[in-house]
Amino acid sequence: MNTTRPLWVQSDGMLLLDERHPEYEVTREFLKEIAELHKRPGIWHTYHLTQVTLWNAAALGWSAQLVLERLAELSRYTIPHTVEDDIRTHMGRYGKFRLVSSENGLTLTAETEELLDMLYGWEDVASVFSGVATGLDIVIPTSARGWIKRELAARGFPVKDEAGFHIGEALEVSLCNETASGNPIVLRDYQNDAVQALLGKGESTHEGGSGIVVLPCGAGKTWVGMAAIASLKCATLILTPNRVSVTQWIAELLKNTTLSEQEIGEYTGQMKNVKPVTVATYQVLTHRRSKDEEYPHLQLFVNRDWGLIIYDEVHLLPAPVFRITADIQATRRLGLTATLVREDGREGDAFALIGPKRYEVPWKTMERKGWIAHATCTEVRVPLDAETAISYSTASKRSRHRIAGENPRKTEVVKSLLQRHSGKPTLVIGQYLDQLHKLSSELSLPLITGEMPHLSRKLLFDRFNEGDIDVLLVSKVANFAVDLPDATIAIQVSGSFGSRQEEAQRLGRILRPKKSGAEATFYSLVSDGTDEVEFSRNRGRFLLEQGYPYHVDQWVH
Amino acid sequence: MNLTMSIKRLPDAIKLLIVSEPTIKSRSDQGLKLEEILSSHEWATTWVQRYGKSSCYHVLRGILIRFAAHPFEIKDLINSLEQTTAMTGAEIRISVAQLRRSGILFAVRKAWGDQLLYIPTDNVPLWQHLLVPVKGDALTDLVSREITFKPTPYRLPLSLELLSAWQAIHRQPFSWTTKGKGAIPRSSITRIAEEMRLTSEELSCLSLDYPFHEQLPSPVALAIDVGLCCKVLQKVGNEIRISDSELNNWISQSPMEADIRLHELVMDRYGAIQPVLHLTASVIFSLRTMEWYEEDQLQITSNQEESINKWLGLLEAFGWVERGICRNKAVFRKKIGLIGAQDVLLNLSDTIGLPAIFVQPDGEILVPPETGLRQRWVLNEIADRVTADAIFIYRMSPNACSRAFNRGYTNSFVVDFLQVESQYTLPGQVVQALEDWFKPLGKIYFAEVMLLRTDNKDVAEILKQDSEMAEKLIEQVGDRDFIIDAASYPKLRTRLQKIGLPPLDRTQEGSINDDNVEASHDEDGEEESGWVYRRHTLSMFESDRTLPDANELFPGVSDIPATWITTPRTYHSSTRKELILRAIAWQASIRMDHNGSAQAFVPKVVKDNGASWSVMGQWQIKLSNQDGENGNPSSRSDSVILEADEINEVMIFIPPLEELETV
Repeated sequence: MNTTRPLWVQSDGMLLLDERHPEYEVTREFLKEIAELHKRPGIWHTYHLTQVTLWNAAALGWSAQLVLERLAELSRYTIPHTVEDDIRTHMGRYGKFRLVSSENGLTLTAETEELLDMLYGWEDVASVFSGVATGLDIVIPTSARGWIKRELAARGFPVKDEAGFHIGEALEVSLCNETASGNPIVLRDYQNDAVQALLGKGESTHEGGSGIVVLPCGAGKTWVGMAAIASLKCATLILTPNRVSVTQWIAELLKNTTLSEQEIGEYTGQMKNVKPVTVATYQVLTHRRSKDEEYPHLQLFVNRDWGLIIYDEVHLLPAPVFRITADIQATRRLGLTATLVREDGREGDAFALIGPKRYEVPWKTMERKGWIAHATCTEVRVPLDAETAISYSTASKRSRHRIAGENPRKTEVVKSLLQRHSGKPTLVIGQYLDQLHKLSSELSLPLITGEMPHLSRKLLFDRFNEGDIDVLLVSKVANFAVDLPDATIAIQVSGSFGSRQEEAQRLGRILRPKKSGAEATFYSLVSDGTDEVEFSRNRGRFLLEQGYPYHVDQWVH
Repeated sequence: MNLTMSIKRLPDAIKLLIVSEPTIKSRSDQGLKLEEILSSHEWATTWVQRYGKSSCYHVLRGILIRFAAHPFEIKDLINSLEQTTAMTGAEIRISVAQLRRSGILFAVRKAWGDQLLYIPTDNVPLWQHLLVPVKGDALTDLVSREITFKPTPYRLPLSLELLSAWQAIHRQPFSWTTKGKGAIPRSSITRIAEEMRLTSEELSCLSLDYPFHEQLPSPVALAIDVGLCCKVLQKVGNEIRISDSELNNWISQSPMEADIRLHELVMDRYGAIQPVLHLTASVIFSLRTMEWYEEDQLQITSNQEESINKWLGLLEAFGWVERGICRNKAVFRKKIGLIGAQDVLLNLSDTIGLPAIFVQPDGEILVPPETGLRQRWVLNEIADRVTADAIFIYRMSPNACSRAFNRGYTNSFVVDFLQVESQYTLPGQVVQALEDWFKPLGKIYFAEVMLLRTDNKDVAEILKQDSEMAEKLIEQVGDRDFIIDAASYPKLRTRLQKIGLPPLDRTQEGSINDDNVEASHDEDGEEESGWVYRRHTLSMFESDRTLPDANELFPGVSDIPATWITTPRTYHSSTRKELILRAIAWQASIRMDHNGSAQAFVPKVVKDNGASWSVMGQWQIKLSNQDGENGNPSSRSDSVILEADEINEVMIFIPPLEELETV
């Protein structure tokens, strides 16, 4: 044991890093290359060494021996042999198989004859081979590229894909030099770094090109997407979770790139325009009339010669879109998200099919550098009145959640908080429409829900952004991909049961750095003595893990 | 039996003789206790320097290799050594007596008089290190880098594995029925087994035999056996439960300290049963921690491969050893310091002043390896264990708080404990969460109370009017019932009789009688306190109260002419024959002139050929160096027959008897 070192290494590949240690920064930089940050709730930050992170480390040029030596230098205790073994095994497997383009399609090359024999031993893998091997090379059809990569990766052998990416239909596009108001357009360092990490060195066709960029809400992920389009200069399909977001992407593209309206299409339930840059919703892609029918709109993926596909809020990607993504491995793919946490636990699919995480900046790092606003989170415990308490205790489990969420006494708390922050752009966010309608009428506040026509929604968002409206009531339609840069206060009156990503997204609504330098404040109203307290604790876990602890206040009136 | 117990049982007269042995006396005169001297490496080294060329050195080496700490009869030792060395039975018997005199070998007598000799279990490593040391060094760092590992799951050190098992017993004592052959409730076994990663296969090399063998998996039997030996567990009637006071002693240790004690116990109690295992264990014990060695290096005797594999497998399962392959050879290293107390203190000094635990704002509690057993015990009681790895991770949760509350822990205890052990103010979120989770607990509970039931409300009224009665009635329930303090039952009964309302007889409930606690160990110590049966329980036998004198070793030695054993002489044929027969009876060699030089001959059988006779035996051949089998400097020729007239000047050779003081 050496107590002067900053790292603990567990036998399952978990790494615990002490942020108080003088070598914290240098260790963190090393861990960024070989592991993924899982959480940083307190002084100990948790990372995980996984098969994928070790393949990534190998791809970055690390050798197993170097990784082990560095870990041994930093670790307080001896490295468990299982970890040593995993590092050697997984890193050693990187590049054992390579995919390159050839005249006949794609050639899969094994490093040794034993590996080639092993390939033939896997019947389903061998079934896609076109003909017999020449030396250590086997020809496979181009269409099997995604499939074979996924199959071999699932067997622990990542294929080094040197077959390059499909360039796609060329498109003359670049970022504008200045904004409409005359300010120069300059990407922030981390946005540039994210694009570089995605595309790799020299933007050659076989390096980089696919992967996920994880940045906190408010950090300008859209800029990373636009910069990638401008860099690759190719037809691009952008997928987002809802129509408001579609509209905002289009507005940003028009405002900040040289693209014209004729070059940007909207592909949603309402409009089906396919242009060199097309922005679509996940919803329309997965729409079908009956369960037995194919998904007709998935054709969008192949109908045009896309050079890049951007998956906005990639953690929301629905299963059918995952499936088709396996078939378009020659197309560059960029996933954007604030959190890789998927409520369905399918984080692994995002890695396998969109690509590995290429870039991430922790929330607190962004906050320290001033790229996102400093935020404080407060949970306000609101007691139930006697009548509601009785109906709560006699209700079924599911109804209880709603009763607690709609606690009538929350109205007086909202009123009081609005008074406290009077004049500051404030969002009141809720789960239940009845509750929101009631708040809207009692407090005379404008309300945006999914029922509202898109144009009216856009109008209200614009008025809020322009400062005509101080307070906006919003349903879950505003959880994602809605740009409200000046919102400073958020009051969450109710939420889904325990959705960690919803809480993070909602906080994200107010994290854009304010022109005034104001801090952001997030309130979560929780009915005291009800199950909502536990749900709230679970919802807040992701934020806590990012270093945003909740302070609990008791509502006494 | 260990050294402490062996010395404790020695008759004073023998103890005095041992203390007067030259290498011991000087140390004893300096004030060292006999136990300290006999377990000291420094003394043992001096002894080896002094006696390294004598027979007793070779006999000790032979005993160590053949029996380790396993008890043996002298005839088995003689048979074995005579087959592989040139030593005679006489030399071996004298050496054994001298080894007893040096406090190296001890003896007990069975009830029917047979003698058993043994080396104390804890002295085996001492002598192994000096007499049969490991050859070769640890692998260099560079070579160690080539080690590959079998994919084996992480193993907890035995101290932590047992802690969990004992905690299960703490929550619910382990019990069995006594009807018929007896039975153990399945749930009782499962609860303990679930806490252990050890498997029966991993313990198979110990061939444990214990009560309820067919029902009880060996890991559970081991947990119980070790618990009883360490006295953390105690037998109470047909139940095994925690002994609170001994538990407190045990959990005051660090896991490292506990593992060192456990290693000693495992080696003495389970390893000592099979000499070859014991020797293997001892060899491993002598190696440096965290350095890689080839498994072949452990082979200090022949036919040891299987034992090495078995014992290393066991130590690996106990989390004390890691194994791998390096350049096609099996290698291993000791993971934790199975080392002396001094080194433990040195290791622990690194951690003094450091927090025992780290509490994260998300309610996770990180526990480094050096954290003491006490903190771990409490955490197991109050928190959910998420990960049991090098670092243990616990998490506070509503369920954990509920369990903790039922075990008697309050919110303020938990907060204080976490705060004190983490040496830090608890994160607000954790304090808030604990408050939320403890808040609803204990508001309602079921209680067993004693009820005084009256026949009707009028009788109840009478009782309320009686002041002496009224003060004992805690609370009225309904018209005719009162809750009373069970302790006041005798007084109430008397009073009721006095006021003319004698109550019906109450059936007394059974209670646990502390007298049931079995004396789980006798005064002498641990040997009988376990669960596992032992083949040789030396403490059952009386310590041998005498050291043999010359007549006992060589019956009739005082009746023969002194020259028979001091000077080669020429005798009449019949006398020569008598002398040789005496040598055969004593298993001694004879010294004689043969082919012009003095030689030693070990006679075995005398054959009569009419008037003449011949003797069959072997020549004892001196070797120029110590490369004889087992390091013995002499060997024997093939059997030869000597005719009576080939033997001229002759004497019986027995080692000098004057050194053989006795009591």
